Amino acid sequence: MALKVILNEFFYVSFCLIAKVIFMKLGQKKRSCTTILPDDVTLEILLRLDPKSLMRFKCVCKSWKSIINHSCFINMHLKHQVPYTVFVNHRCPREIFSFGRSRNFDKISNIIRIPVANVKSIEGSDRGILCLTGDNNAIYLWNPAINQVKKIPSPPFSNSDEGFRLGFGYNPMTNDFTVVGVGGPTVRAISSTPFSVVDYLFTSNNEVAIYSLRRNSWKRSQMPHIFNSSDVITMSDQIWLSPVVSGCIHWMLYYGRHDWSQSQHGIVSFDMNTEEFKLFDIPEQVEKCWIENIGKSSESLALFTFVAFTPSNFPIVGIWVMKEYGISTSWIKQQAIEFPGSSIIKCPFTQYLHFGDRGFASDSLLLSSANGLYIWHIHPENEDERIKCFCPTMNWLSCFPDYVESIFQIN
Amino acid sequence: MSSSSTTTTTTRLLMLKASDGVTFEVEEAVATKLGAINNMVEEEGSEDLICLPNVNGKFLGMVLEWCKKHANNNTNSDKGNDEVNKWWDKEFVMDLDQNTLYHLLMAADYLSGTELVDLLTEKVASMIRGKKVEEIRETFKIKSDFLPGQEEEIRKKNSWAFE
Repeated sequence: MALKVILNEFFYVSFCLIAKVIFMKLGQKKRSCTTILPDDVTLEILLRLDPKSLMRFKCVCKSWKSIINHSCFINMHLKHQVPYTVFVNHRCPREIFSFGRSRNFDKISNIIRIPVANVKSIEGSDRGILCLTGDNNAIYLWNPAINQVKKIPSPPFSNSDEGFRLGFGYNPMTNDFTVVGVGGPTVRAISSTPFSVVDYLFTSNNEVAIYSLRRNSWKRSQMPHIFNSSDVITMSDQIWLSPVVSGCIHWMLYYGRHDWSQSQHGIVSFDMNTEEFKLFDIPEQVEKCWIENIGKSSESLALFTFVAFTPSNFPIVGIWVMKEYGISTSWIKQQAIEFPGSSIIKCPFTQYLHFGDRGFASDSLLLSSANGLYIWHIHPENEDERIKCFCPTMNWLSCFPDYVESIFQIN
Repeated sequence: MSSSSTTTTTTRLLMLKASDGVTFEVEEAVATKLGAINNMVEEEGSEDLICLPNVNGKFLGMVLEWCKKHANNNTNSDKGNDEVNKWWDKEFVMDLDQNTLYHLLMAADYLSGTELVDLLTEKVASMIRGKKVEEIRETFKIKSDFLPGQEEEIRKKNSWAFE
């Protein structure tokens, strides 16, 4: 943690220096092309501007353009943005939307049409860029804040009929975006739900393809041996998010015998820097619970669990976090929230839970179910406000809890 | 030198002298909210008169007014303090004209008043969001240094941002 702070400081100081050098190199006078304000002040102003204005202000003069295009500036700008949650109807993804910053989520704002026809799903989101799949498994990267979309080359899997599972994230070590595809599975539908499951993903020797945005190309690799060879690995196709924590992309899956009830949960991580796959165990106590989702809580990997039958008869939602990243023994239960007599828990399709620490108020929990979206306030001002259903007509929503508007270029 | 009558503790007073000779007597705790003054006090120790040749009296006075308000608000450890500061900051920047704003910003930057610089840069940013490129050049007195054709190319690449 302390190292992180030091690195941030270091990052900021070096950024200011770089910015100054750019200004000095380009400017004929002491104050480069801006004649009325010193350079460091100009920088501070630019850092506070919205993406669209910045894209336009590249035209102001050479030094403004260089600053706005600089990777240090782009990263610093990101830190000035307030993250929020974006939603997408994942049965029919045509647009993303958010609820502004209102505590009650009573007004949809910011509807942005996805600029790709027939989008199948949003595979991941990091630093303001979304990774989408469309018809014929085409993969797109999209930055809604600066209206840029790019179709990336198809992954080089030898059998194009087989499915694959994607992960997407930003690698701060290389200042690059990575898409990783794990191939070779068979896909089957689960009756009575819109979901399907993918079997035999992550089995050793499966094909793996790793895409770098900077190189705009894929390279091929192979799945290492992280499971027993007799294990059946099963992954639900669309329910889980694949959160990025500590430069690694994560997927939740079951492994063990073919029967689901005989399987156990596991989390596979892919380190974007070392390109290594690892398997993390989840806490033993959690095995008995229904795991609703994986996600992030204050930059830690988190698990959201649900226990329907408790001694008090009130269902309990648990939030577990991996305190020390990569250490399976460091899982701790961060929160347990009881839901006395609320009706949503009777709904069988509570898809996911999100404990907001970024895109939401810090004491609220978001639940999506077949009868709409709910926000649960842990410390409400009065009891009537504890749970609120918003958008009862919307179901099957997926959410990306820490979307930020960024000026990362993808073209 | 008289000590402040409102507080029981005796606080040291500093004399700040602006470029135009105007002087201000301020409590040390208030003046050291400014990084530059804090450094001078720490380095030079006992010096009670500090000359600030790059700031004139009008703007130094405004900067100090802001410091005073924030120092006072921060002494009562109320929860609503942040709210009070925010409300007061809003008032402080609300009616600043462009010229005053820039001079104040430069004074705050020179005196390393980080929080005040944040407040003022945010104000400038809110004023220029959504403006046209030509308006920005006029506001900041910037002359385009692009070669003919270069600017058109950038506009074409980012045409969406001009809609």
